[in-house]
Amino acid sequence: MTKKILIVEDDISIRELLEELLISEAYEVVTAAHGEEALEVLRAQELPHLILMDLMMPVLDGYGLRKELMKHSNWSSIPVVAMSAEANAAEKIRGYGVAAFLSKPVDIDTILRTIEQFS
Amino acid sequence: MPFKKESQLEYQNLFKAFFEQSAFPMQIFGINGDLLEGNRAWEIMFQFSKHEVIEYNVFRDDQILNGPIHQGLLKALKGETVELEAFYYDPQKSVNIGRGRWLESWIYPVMDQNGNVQQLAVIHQDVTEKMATQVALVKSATERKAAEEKLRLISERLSLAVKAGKIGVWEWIPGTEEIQWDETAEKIYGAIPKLLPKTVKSFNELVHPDDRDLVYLTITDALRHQKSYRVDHRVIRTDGAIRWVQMTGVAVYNNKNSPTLMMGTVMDITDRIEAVKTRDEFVSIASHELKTPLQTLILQNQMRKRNMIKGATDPLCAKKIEQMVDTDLRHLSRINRLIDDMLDISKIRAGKLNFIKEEVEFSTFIKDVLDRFKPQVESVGSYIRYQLCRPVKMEIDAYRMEQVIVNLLTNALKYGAGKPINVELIKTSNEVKVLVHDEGPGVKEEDRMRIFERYERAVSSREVSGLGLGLYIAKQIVKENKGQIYVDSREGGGSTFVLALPY
Repeated sequence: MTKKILIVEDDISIRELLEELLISEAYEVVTAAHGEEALEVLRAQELPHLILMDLMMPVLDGYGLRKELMKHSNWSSIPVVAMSAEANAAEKIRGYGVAAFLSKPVDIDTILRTIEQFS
Repeated sequence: MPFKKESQLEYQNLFKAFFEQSAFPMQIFGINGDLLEGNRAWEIMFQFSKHEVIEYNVFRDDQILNGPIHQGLLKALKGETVELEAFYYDPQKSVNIGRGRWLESWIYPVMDQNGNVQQLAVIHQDVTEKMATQVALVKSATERKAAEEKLRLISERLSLAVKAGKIGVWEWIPGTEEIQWDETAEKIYGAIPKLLPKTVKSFNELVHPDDRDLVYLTITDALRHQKSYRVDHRVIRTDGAIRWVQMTGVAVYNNKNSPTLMMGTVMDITDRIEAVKTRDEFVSIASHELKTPLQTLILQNQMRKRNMIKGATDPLCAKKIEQMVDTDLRHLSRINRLIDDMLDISKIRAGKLNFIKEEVEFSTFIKDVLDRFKPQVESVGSYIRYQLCRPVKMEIDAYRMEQVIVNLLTNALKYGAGKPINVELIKTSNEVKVLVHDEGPGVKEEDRMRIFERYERAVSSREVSGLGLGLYIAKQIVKENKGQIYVDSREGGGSTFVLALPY
């Protein structure tokens, strides 16, 4: 079965590269540029098996998105992998119940291993 | 004490009994100064026996000679009753025995019926304990006064030294309701005297509720251990503003270890606290801004390698490689620019930003800068419209000035992406103005000064990338060239950044 991954990332280069990477690994990929777009995707489409999200984003950031996900019973169970280039994001994300946190810059092997593990 | 002849004996017996049993220490001296008698109370007082001082002569006692006692004795020999003020007498010094006492004494001349002085009777009152208490009182009062005086001097010196600065002085007598604080402290607390009586109660109310426990514990701990203290806390001023202050304090204690006076200083440290906060935020933003392009570079190159190992032919085609290299270069130059900004900041801070001025035809210079910037403008779907004035020769540092113009253009693109940018060059009688107009959201009135400060930006860091240094650097460069840079803007109606340079 093809697993669906939702990528939420505001930096267009990173977003496109992640998309290309996951497609090449036979994942089905949907993307969003920020939290609000991610919520739209979730409302409109079949739910993903995992959400790979950045934390520092405009409109609705990763923390805000995670809070929204927790409010909905069928969204709260989707595993979330957070990543960030923020200096103290690892501490800040504690208590948000994410499956994993990746500190940017992160390499391809780590991304693939983490997604494989939690999706 | 003139005796009547017939009752002399009876009287002498009575006197002897009285003399022996009296609670008052008494002595009888001959008119030559020899000690004739001393009673029991007198022996007890000096802690010796009269047999041990049998040879004593008051006129051969160095402790007595030439002092007020000697004067008193001479007066008494002339028939006067003399009262002596409290004096200290130590028999150790005169007869190597007994103990020193404080005495108040009376000297009575004993006369025969002709009125000739025969003997001197001296009655003492031991006032040593009373004097000791008084001495102690005087001593402790003197010591306390000295300590208070010392504190007061420190406080005065401090208040003189800090008059121009931000340090206020306060003073409080524990147990009382009133606190004294000076004008500076009053300014720091933002207190209008009538609104804020100088009392313990109103001081407690000034301290931010979240910091009250900290302040209370710090002070009580310092008092318990009799040490000075220093505590950083917030105050809510009477004007409602929240400020950070540093309060110090020290106390004077009495002999029961109770504080009798407390005083200290208060200093507004809001700027310092905020500078630390700003620096922390900057480090966080800088980390994010530098790591984001690194992330792209890492992903891109790892992908390239993966595809090559897989033997995919697609990534090896010339066009694809060119595209990838372009992205790499773009991200590398972004990292480079960020590092340059940070270096400029530290140079500005150290006053080491160098300028190499040369004569430049400004109109052509602007056109060249715009041409060089064109690719970046087109990459976000914008375009530049420009209108230049007639040639004007100016002495400028072309490299630094280009940095300013590029900063303004980068800003215009950041906030007005996809929309046209208008650049206008205007020459007046004494200055040249460069106007850069974008159709972005505009800058709010209250933000128009702030955005030229270090680490400031019009919107939060989540919305727009960058270190928030561009306009600050631009302003410093323009200032060095004796020019001005400012923004003219209507919220929602785009922004016009104006660079004005004298020529």
